[in-house]
Amino acid sequence: MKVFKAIWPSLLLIGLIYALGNSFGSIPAIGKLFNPFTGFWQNSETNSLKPESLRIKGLKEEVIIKFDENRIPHIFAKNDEDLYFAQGYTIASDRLWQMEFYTLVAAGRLTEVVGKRALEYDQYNRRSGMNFTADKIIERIDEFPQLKKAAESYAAGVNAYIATLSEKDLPIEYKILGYSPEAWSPKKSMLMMMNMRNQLNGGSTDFKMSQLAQKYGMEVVEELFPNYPNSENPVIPDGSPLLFEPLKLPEIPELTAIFPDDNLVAMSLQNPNPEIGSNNWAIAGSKSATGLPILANDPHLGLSFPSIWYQMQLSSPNVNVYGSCLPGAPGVIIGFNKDIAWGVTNVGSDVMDFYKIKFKDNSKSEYWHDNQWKKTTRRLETYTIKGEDTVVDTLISTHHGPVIYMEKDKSNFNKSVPAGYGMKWITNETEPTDLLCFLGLNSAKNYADYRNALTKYIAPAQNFVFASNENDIAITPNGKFPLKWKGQGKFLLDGTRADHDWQGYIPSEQNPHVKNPVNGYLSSANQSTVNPKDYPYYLDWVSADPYRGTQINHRLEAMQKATADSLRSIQNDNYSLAAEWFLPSLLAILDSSQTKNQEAIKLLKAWNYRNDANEKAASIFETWINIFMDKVWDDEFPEKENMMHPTEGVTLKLLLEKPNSKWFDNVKTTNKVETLNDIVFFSFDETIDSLNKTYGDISEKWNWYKVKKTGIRHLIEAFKAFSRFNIENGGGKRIVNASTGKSGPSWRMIVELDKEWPRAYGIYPGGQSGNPGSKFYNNMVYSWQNGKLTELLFLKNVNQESDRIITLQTLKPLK
Amino acid sequence: MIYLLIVLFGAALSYMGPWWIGAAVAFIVCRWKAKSSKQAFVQSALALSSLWVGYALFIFLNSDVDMATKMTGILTSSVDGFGKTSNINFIFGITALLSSTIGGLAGLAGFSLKRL
Repeated sequence: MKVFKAIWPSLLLIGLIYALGNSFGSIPAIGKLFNPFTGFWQNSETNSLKPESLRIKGLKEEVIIKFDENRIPHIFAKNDEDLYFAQGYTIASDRLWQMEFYTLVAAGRLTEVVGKRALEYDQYNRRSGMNFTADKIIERIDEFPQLKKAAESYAAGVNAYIATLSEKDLPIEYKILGYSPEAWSPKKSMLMMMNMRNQLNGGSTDFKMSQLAQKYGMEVVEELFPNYPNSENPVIPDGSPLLFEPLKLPEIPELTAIFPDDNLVAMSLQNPNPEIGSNNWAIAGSKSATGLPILANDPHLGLSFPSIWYQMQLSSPNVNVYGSCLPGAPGVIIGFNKDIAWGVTNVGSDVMDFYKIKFKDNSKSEYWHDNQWKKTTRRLETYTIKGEDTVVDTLISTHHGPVIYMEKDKSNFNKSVPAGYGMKWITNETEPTDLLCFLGLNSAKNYADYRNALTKYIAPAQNFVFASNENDIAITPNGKFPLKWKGQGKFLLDGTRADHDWQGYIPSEQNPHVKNPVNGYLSSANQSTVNPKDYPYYLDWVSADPYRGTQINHRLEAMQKATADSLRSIQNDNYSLAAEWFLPSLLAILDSSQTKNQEAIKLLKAWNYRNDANEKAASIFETWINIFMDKVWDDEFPEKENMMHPTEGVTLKLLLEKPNSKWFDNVKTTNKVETLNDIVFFSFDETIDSLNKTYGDISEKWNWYKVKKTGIRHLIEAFKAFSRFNIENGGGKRIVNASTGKSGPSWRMIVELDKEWPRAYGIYPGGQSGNPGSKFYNNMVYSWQNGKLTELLFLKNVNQESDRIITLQTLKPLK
Repeated sequence: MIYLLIVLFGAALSYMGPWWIGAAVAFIVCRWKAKSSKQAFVQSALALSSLWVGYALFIFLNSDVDMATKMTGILTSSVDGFGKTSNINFIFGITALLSSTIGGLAGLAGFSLKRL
């Protein structure tokens, strides 16, 4: 008893320290977190300047880093190894948690930090092969010494930074979620690139189209889902000459699609997402005030904290480049140097196909292909789950790729990866050279260097726009494109037939390409790549609606003596071509209606078609067009049953040319045949009702930004307090200024090329620091929402002085 | 005396961590110096909460960003927590509660072992 009296407080203390020092489920380690010496208070920056001088093991020579007023590092190294080492070190010091988080996503390892709720997501990511492919890529990295050197130096730099950290220095997300960073490696840089491949090339409509064709027949598919839009302004201007002798085209087999047995599938897959699009363009000297080209780019991605981009200047004897980097990858991804500038938008061609596999028996060790039984391969995938037992599953692969799901699942009815199908996906190509393309662009001096760099690029295919101070402009929809027969992969394919395999690849020098067009400009906005009349190979059948591409080209066509500021006005262009094209007809029909919502009609009639932040009519139109599309199509092609709607372009054509089309009838009403007019009346009244319900009577609450609700969310969505909501800006998914609820221009850049030294402007919606406790976490958001750009400080060399440099940091080798 | 010793050694060692080092200091000081369980508990609780709350307050007053609001938001799964003043009270309240409980218990544990 005496002993117990003496030790019970100690036992309780040990228990308490254990309980408060560990995270349980979603409850963080409260004791550790609230202790101001180790916890979140340590992430509150009291001095935002970086330390002046550090000695670091692994550097060869001294590196100087100048931080400007937005904490953008300008790194000056004496050799390339030190340059990428310092890049890794610096980016890790601002974005370590984010970098690792992306790699956990791509490798299907989120369960290790957030627990079982991520298992289904992890399993999809792991089974689709990204982790496996990253391993394969690394196995081949020795073939590419330049890449190996950059990736290893970068990893060494990240690890040198991790080695300086004690518990109190960890990014706050580690403290809340209760884990610590792992060592970085070149494989993780590849996982970061996998993540981009998945984000930009990871959608498919094959199952939906097959189901649709099965129900309505190929004629309806051809009418409503044509292989090329009837009105388009493609990336490669119409009539551009073919500059090469094409390969023999694969013949179209007599069977081009197979139909699913039923509409049960295993897992949801997004449609290729038009909101994750982008704009870029270049104008030639003939159109610019300076007489030399100007280039602009704004990639639209999910808006996040920490920001997807990180600005840097990287300088060594071999390169001096400025631009936006992806946290985790060496080099600059979108940027410029003294002589050239480049930018990217997503091509979105069809690079993911599904093949029905015929297994010999239940062991699934052999499958039928090209008139013989072939062996499958098996791999065990192990998932470590925080706080729970490990899960292991077996992944079976064919030469088509992994069979992601074996079982149909009735409870997963509304989903679109079919069970029992092999997935062929460009993401699983194992050439390690993507990053070599960017490193090549970083040091490119002219058009020839640009073309050479592009041959190294695999995926996700991008429209690489280019401009140089030799007055060249060019655009190349570029990546590794499968060689397909026309329409191949629009539907599910037959995995037993050799003629359904991808028929090789388009040689990279035969990718679509235009240089110095007579009209003096080039642009891309995720629209169709090229008119099939101008290009022999099949790339895809569907792309973003032509609004952004057409509006950009209208603006560029009209421009003379343009400056960076005139191009900035295009990036911020809120004009709605959708409204210009749809609204007059819709309003004409409404004139004959008895609707009581006359005030809303008045607003629409007075509207200048601009989706400005405080425009009420924009809220009405954007809501209306969505409801209208739904009313026209969802009766025949219900999205809930894994169908998809025809495009707005197809709908517009019907509206203008075939107002009596049977598609306007609502097939769900048996006693009535609805006309276009009925659909317009219903959809309009429903629009106003739904706006009334959410926002009350017409008032300030109807202002477009309040309805659009653009938000910048922390990568952990539950961390709302680290996010920003209700950003007051204009735009929309049909608008050049493509801000939507969750996505938007993630980096805006404009570069005026010059014989002496370029002038460049840029901004992204966030800040350089990934730390919510830093004033550099979101300091650029306000300028971004107002459409402003910051002049980018591009130093000529380490000796150039600038009063914008706030901190000078010297990294010295530690022998 | 006990109070001062814990604050001084606690502050010096807390920079090195781990997070429970303050408790260890209270434990040792009370094992060595404390005269009664009440004294051990109260002075240790006061000492550790002075350390935690005092240092947190110092950071709070000197930082660029309002972490009290952000962390309250994270812990309550809302954007802005309970509102500015309540957030500060909430964060410092929990800090005081945790540090005094851990500190007091550690002091008591150290003193109690004297009975063996």
